[in-house]
Amino acid sequence: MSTLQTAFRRRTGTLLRVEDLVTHFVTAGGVVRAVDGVTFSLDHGKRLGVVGESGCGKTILARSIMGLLPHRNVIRQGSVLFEGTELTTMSLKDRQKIWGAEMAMIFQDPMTSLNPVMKIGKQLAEPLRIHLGSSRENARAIVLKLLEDVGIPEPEKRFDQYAHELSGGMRQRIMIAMALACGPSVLFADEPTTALDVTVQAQILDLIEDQCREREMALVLVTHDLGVVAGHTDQIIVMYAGKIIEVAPTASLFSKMKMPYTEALFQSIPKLEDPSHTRLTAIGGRPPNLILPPEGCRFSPRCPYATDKCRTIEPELQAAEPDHLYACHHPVGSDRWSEVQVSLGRRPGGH
Amino acid sequence: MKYFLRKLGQLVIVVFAVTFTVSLALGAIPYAEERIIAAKGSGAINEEEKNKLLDSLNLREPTLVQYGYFVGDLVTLDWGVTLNGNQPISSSISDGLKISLRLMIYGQLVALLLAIPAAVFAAYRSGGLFDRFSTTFSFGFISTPNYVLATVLGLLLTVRWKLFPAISTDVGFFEAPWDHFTNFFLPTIVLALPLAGTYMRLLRSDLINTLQSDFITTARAKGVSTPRILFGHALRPSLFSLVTAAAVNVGALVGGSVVVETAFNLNGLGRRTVLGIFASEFRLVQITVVVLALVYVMTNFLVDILYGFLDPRVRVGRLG
Repeated sequence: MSTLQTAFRRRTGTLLRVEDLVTHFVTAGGVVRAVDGVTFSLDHGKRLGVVGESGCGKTILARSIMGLLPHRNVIRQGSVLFEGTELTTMSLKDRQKIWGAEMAMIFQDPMTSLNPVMKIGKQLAEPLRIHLGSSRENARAIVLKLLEDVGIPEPEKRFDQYAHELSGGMRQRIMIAMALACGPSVLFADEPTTALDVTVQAQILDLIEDQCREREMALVLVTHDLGVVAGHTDQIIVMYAGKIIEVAPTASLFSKMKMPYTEALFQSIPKLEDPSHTRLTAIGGRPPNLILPPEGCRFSPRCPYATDKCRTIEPELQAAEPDHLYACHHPVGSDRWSEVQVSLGRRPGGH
Repeated sequence: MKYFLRKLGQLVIVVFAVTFTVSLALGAIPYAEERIIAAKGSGAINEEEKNKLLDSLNLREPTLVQYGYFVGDLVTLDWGVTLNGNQPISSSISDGLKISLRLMIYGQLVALLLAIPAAVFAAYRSGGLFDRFSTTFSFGFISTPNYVLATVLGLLLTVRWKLFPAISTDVGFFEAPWDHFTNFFLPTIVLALPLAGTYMRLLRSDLINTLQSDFITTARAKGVSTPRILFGHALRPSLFSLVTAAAVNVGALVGGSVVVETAFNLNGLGRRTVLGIFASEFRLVQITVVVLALVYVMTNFLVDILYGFLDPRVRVGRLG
């Protein structure tokens, strides 16, 4: 990856271009179509949210982009261009040079994501020693600074501690520090707050956001929680059953959402203005089986607006606005939508 | 430190229990006195010598007093002589221990040197060709009785090809390194192969578990190379079963390699114990048992300490 390292670091323009990415797992029960033709791009320094229920392919998407998945029994297709370099055909050795250096990842469960038998300091220094060839003393100095940056009190003391001596929030801060160590140009955060206390969640999200801005680092924030992406992203991808079904800038997604699925996700968030003891509107049913996805629109079996057309013809992504795409035959605001809203006793047009 | 002291306390209790039981055991042997006299050669000694001998063994004292004398003799190293041949028991045991310790150390080292790299590679490509191949072989070695292995290897390597002496002699390493190697090679291999099979199976399955942990994904995501993930991140947390099994085998090999010692004519501790039992050398057997118990207890103590190094969480007692 000498080209990447010596190349002039452009801080504007396209950083990541994902084209028709496919990741299927070959299992005993059949082929699981976890990621099924995903296309999007991400500019330098931009923050992208990937939302969807559990099991709709968000995590696999993030790992497929990095190339972190196992080799065996995996079908991959499509292309991932990272700063103009194709990642999908790259050797493992070359990808290892990018991981942690150019692209970094933090995970859902900080309790299990740190090595339990290695001192915190050593784990944090590892990417520095591998990618930048830092000396032990040099790496230590950088690590102490990193710990301070992510808001860890007494960095000197933490350096020689083990993961089990720290709280969940602290461990996630350590994970963030580890990801930041080599100054990557994109950070993948896979449900970074799901395993944390509610009180700590906001702190961690703010920390990620601050660090992204400070380091001009792009962010891919994977979450099932629309509330999390609302305040911390520029653009949102909504995924369902391995496919992108809606893409929009964050503000217009919330004000002008097109997909019934997005609407359903949105309605399942408790709102402050609701009177207490209001029942949450849950989405009926479960995400589809990815071995045999439903025909037509994959959301149709759970969609209140679905018609026969939805159950037979799969909708293509279409543009509502140049930067707002959706894949639906009866989007929010359509005649069919209003009709069903009325029959459900809701006032069409109001959320 | 507290952990250390607690383990030390347990050690003292075990040593007490073993010495006490061993001391009492003599009283439970039917016709112990007669057997001792017989072993000495009853026709050859007169009544006075007989009484002197029995007195020196304190057989007619009350149980607790017997135990007192036994521990006293143990601690002051006044272990007496064998009934047959008047060899000091201490030198018999130390000669045997020297051979047995060598066999144990060589066997364990060879077993670990074979098992660890094989297990790491098998776990890394689990289900692959090497994994299946090594699984077959390790089960083969585990299930082959060691007298079969000793006989077959002995036949091939000493009788047919004459690479090694058929009867091993205890040659010190510093006296003649090459002879030492040729004399200990076969017994070591016969001890090591079944052990290596067991160790490989244990470590392989623990490693496969560890490699599925989240922290391994973290290490991969920060660009750690594959060998470094295997040996730097995954190996250490996977060593628990292996260390436990190896520790149990330390004691078992020192006292229990009777078959191998007999097959290669090495007068180790195990063989001396078995011969001692047949010859009614009760005192020799008693003291050997205590020595072996000490070996067991000491290795277990060291292993408990080692657990603390393997996983810092053990030190605060979360895992036990």
